[in-house]
Amino acid sequence: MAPTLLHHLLDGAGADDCPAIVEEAERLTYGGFRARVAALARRLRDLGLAPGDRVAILLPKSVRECVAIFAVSAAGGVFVPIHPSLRPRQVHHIVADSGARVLLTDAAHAAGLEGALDDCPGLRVLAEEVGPPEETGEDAAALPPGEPAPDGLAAILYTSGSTGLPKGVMLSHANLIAGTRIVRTYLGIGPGDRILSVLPFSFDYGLNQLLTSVEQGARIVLLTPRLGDDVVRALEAHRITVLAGVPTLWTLLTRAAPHLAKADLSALRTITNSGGSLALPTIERLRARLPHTAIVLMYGLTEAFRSTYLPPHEIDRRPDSIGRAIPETDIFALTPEGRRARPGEPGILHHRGPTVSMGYWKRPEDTARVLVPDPFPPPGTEPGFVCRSGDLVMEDADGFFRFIGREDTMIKTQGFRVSPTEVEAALMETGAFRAAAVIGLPDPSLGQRIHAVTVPAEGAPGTADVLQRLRTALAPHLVPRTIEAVAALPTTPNGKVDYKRLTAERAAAEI
Amino acid sequence: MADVREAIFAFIAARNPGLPSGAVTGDTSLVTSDALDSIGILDLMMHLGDRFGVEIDEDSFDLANFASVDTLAHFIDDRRSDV
Repeated sequence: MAPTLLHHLLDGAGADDCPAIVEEAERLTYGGFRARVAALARRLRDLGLAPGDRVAILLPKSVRECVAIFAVSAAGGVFVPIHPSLRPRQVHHIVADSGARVLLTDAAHAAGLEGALDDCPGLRVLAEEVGPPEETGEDAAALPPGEPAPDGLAAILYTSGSTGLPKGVMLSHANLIAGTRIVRTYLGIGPGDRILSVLPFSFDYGLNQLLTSVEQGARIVLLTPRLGDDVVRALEAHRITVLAGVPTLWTLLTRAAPHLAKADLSALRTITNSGGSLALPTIERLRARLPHTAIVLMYGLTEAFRSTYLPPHEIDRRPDSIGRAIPETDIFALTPEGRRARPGEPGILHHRGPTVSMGYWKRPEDTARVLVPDPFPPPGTEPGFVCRSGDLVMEDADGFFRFIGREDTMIKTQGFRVSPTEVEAALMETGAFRAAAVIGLPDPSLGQRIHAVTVPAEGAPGTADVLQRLRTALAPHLVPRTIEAVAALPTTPNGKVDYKRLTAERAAAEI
Repeated sequence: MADVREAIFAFIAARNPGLPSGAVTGDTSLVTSDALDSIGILDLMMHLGDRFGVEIDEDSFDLANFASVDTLAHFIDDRRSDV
């Protein structure tokens, strides 16, 4: 029977003695994985977790984190993965906004929170590890069935929206299983694959790697790299076959990994990029270093998971393309008047398919902007919703799309989507500025880099002091790379900050 | 070499607000400790390159250079003496 709930993926996965997860010296088999998931799921139920309750997960990339994701699903809960480098303020926002009943974390992260969650009533913080069940009988791994509906909520992933603090994107079990099936199909993932996981599980595509690996009974190797050579050595030592990354990772590999030229990476058959476009020189360097490895470029938004992919044999012909629709999915561009854009005409990308999310947690107005009624429902089906991406794209005569830009001011850096509003709020809180506008400028390593244009306040502290304070308040990827001082910010006729002009002037000056 | 070492300590301290002083020493590994993430190490190298007039190429990122703060300080200091 095809799996309908996330944790079902584990039921049909590899044999008990087959390796599932590798984390440094630790190796967990599928049998051990199932047992640990069952133990933690039981613990969660003992804590009184009710169906649909949220469980936040704040853990470094680890076996424990993988177990937590599946255990929350098996206990009938909704998992909310939190990026482990977020600062207490952002963690608090996610825990409070999601109304989490339980936080699964470790001692180091619990200590780092320093009471930041004290005002979350009824939150249970579980910082110790839940061991495998004692051998009490044959039902050690059996769980009472607490089956939610397949279209019920499975996870909430927090991602920056254009209005400040991160918003939770709601994913159903059916969404996650469809994403697993679709990516596994077009990448051809099978039981023999060894997948290197460097992307966080709080990022939809990082999570997808874990799910495709489990679905196929393949092996996933977990790594938090510090240097490009960490990645190269892991690729070589584990004979990795598939590696997924964001632009930053490819910069590390092509600019800062001397071992790449010497390593035997003959097992590596596919690398995939998502979370921002890859600069042409980086693609060329990757192809020179990895002549036998296929490069698959992808495009997507958390609100609809992935939308398009570029098959590797097309990369020479259309290196700046984001590709065409993923399986089971229709992608089309709409003009401002709501008609289908013709080839060569810009339009907003729309997505119809099984990975279209359930919208934003507790934000119906925001949801209504991104999930819109299907303008052309396929005949014979009940009209549903499509995802309006907010990205301007252009289709070519062969049905391949090219990304033109964001409709709004969102910045994509290091694979993260960053809302200028959130960074601006932190800048203003320092008291050092009378006004601040945050923009993204093209950057070959980061995709875009965060640049702040500011009007300094009288007697304001220096830039170094301000950056120091921002680093306390913000996660590293949110801290501006550069702060510029101007006398006044340009405005539009409506009195709003003219972001387009700010960005265009600075981007032009750099070329 | 002491100035390179101090520059590395200052960079790590700026990146890790709230880090108790003395938590990072000359023996601290930049590979296995949480002092810097991967982008942090890239930034540190660019910073040291600018500050001490050292060219940072691909080979500068050899894992051995990051075994400790002191080994990295030695590496930068040696290159500086070349010019």
